[in-house]
Amino acid sequence: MKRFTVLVLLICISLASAMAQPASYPLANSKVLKITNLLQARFHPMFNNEVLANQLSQISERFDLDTNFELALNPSNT
Amino acid sequence: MQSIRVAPDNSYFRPQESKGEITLSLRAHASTIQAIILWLLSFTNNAEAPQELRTLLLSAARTSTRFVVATDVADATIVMSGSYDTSPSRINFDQSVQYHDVSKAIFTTINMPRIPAILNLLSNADIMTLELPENPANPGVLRDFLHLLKIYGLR
Repeated sequence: MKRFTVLVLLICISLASAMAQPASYPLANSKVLKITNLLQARFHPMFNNEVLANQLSQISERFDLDTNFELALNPSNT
Repeated sequence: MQSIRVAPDNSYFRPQESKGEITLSLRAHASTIQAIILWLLSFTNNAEAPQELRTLLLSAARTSTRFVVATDVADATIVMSGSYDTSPSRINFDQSVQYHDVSKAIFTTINMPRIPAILNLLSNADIMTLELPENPANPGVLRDFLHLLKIYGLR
């Protein structure tokens, strides 16, 4: 039952993420960070997305990454 | 999709490419998770954010050391879990892996005694979920979920 619940949740996350419009932030290496925040839109400005983009830019430089990052947040109660 | 393999920490930091696979160090994964946690804390430390949401996310960011990674292989979904230590940065994987194949109605748990095999499973993972510990009063039912979808974009 637990495994089925996890599977259903993962499918729901994937569907919800596909429907939501992500916000894009450029990284220092010309790649992008896409954030899909599934909280209500009025909460989005309360996250410091620029800090995350800066952190990922530093990580990309430190580990010589050449990739985009996509992050989706969906807090929920089960 | 170009796959990612995880290398043992302290081996090397730069990603290595071999036979179409990219190898990342555990430290790169751990640093990414830490950056995401800092992002969550930027919300929980914001006084304008609703207290209920702040409490939920703060609790998840500070107490959640468990994670679930799912990856699709053909018609099957492989779900593995583990724990994450912030100090020192380390990712530990559980020995059992769940294997779901909807087309064949297979839902089973596989014991994976070999750590390298488990690390390889993470190679194609594109979903990472941080979860809070189980509610002791209701074992088997996860209390609160904080879902983090993490895709490295190597396609």
